[in-house]
Amino acid sequence: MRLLVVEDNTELARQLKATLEQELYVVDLATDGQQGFHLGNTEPYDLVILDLGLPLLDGLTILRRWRETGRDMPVLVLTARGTWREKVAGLRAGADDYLAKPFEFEELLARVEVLLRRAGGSASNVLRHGDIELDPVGLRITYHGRPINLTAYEFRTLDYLMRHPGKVVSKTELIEHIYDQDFDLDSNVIEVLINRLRGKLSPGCIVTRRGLGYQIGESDPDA
Amino acid sequence: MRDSLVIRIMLLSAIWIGIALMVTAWILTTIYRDHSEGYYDNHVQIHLNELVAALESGPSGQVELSSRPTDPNYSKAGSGWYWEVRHGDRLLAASRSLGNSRLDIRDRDVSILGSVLNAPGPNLQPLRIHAVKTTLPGSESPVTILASAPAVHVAEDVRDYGWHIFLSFLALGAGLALAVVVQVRMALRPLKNVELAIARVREGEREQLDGRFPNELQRLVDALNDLLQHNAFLLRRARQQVGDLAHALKSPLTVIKNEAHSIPEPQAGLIKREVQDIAGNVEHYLTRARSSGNNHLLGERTPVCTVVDDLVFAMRSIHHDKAIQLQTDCGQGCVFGGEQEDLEEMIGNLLDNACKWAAGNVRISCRQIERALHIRIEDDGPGIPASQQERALQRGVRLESSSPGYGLGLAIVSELAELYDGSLKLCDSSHGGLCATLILPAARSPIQETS
Repeated sequence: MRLLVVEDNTELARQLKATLEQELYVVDLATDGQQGFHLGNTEPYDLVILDLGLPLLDGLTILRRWRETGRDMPVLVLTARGTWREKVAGLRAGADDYLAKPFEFEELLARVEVLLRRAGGSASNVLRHGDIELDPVGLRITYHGRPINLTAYEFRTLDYLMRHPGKVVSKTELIEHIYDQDFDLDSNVIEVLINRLRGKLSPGCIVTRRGLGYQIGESDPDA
Repeated sequence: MRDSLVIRIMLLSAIWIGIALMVTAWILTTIYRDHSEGYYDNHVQIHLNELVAALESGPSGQVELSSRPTDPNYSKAGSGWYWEVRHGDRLLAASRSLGNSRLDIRDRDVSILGSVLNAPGPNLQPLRIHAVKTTLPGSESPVTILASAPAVHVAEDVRDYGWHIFLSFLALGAGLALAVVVQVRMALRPLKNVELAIARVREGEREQLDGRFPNELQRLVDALNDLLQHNAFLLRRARQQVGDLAHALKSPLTVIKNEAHSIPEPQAGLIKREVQDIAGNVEHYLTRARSSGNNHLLGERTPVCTVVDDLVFAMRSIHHDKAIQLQTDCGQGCVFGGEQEDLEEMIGNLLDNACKWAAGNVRISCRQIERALHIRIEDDGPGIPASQQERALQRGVRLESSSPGYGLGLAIVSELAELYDGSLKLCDSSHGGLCATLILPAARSPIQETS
């Protein structure tokens, strides 16, 4: 899952990035409003953590502009003032949740996970497909009840596919969501990752749709 | 007596009107006295001339009076109307009114051209005496002719006249004073309007004094409006700065709090507790600074319904997963007499707590009872045991540390309510959970125009 953090306090931004990366999220960082708006407007993020008090362009304006142009990724707003007026304004502008500073990172991680789950349409804490279980909070994967060790990129790939069950996910989309913005798109690395996952789980767990991409689970007949 | 513009103006006018009327009365009386004297002088002069014309000198040099004035006043004894003709020391003739008395005028006081003398007559009656001295042909010694009228006539006339003047000027003065009262009232009426406009600002119905005023007052009103605007600007700036301070403090606090994770215990715990304390204090003093800036200064009016609607919208987003039934029942007429932001904080924290703990139902209602609003928020959660309810309102006390909310939030609400001389009361809800009742001042009803 690829996240954008827009926060002008560089130390807090660094901490957020480090903490989120520990949880195997891919994190891009923006430290001013304009950069943040631009990244959120062009890159396909799964979630944005947006501070409201930003230099150059304030958080509420950024959020409103994103929503006006149809960017509908979940947005978690960080407020320093923490007044209800600001919270209401944030929510009316299109935020999905807010967190008042100073906050605990555990709280932040929990909120992020709830928002990601809500966006994926799932209510459960654990992602499940057949015999594969993935716990995005505990970072645990079990196959037939047996724990499996995955590298960070393998985990991210499986995580993304399992959050979009039945959807054919292209290589480009996978790359966009498991690597940060500096990654070179021409690499063959996705095929390698998929093959390694098939090796560690089962050969049939990830289906290749030739020329289109990869898929976990059956296509939704209504889709 | 209190200093009053009306009394000042009326007192000054009364003094001026009094002086002006007195001077006028004095001038008029003097003119009338002159006129009255002239009338009697004229009368006496005619009789004097008549007497002079009646003088005849006989062949042997003696002087005789050929006729006498016929005015009946000259026959009435002691009337003050007298005449007397002397030839040398000898009395030639005198009016019957004079009887045996004589007018006490010496010849040398009388000029040939005629004299007017004020002198006492018989019985010391004040007289106005006209006299002339003439020498007839063929006679050695001069003839002195005297005629008098009682001075009391002039005095009586003048007194009568003065009395009329006094009465009519009294009426005039009263009329003028009444006119002054009416004028002052009319001239000062715009002041009443200014007072009304200021009251409107104080009650929070308006931000500026509006309406047109006479030029002299308009300058004052403009100056007041400038002052109000300046005040509002200072308030906004102070708020802005308070907010900026919050922003500046809270990001580093977050950093410190989370950096503490990389430090071994017990130092980490200490740092975290201290940071929590700092954050609590920042919140506490910022809330106070924000609220006390304008509290009790200008009457604010905040409709409760709009605030509740906004917050209910927020609660539905925040507690999206819990599918809580939020039931609102706020009387349309409920208007809080204070800052919107403060009301948002109070209701927001209470609603958020209620939603966090509710099993599925939250109710909010607002009623106005006399001058107070009773805002009641109930949930069907576990509630707070009666023994701990009082403690829950103390600053920094957190009853259930695993779930944020109750404690810090309730203390802030209670403190804000107290800033408005209101209160927060906790009790058990009939729905099973907690029932929090906010008692806050209602905004005063709009000011009626008093005509």
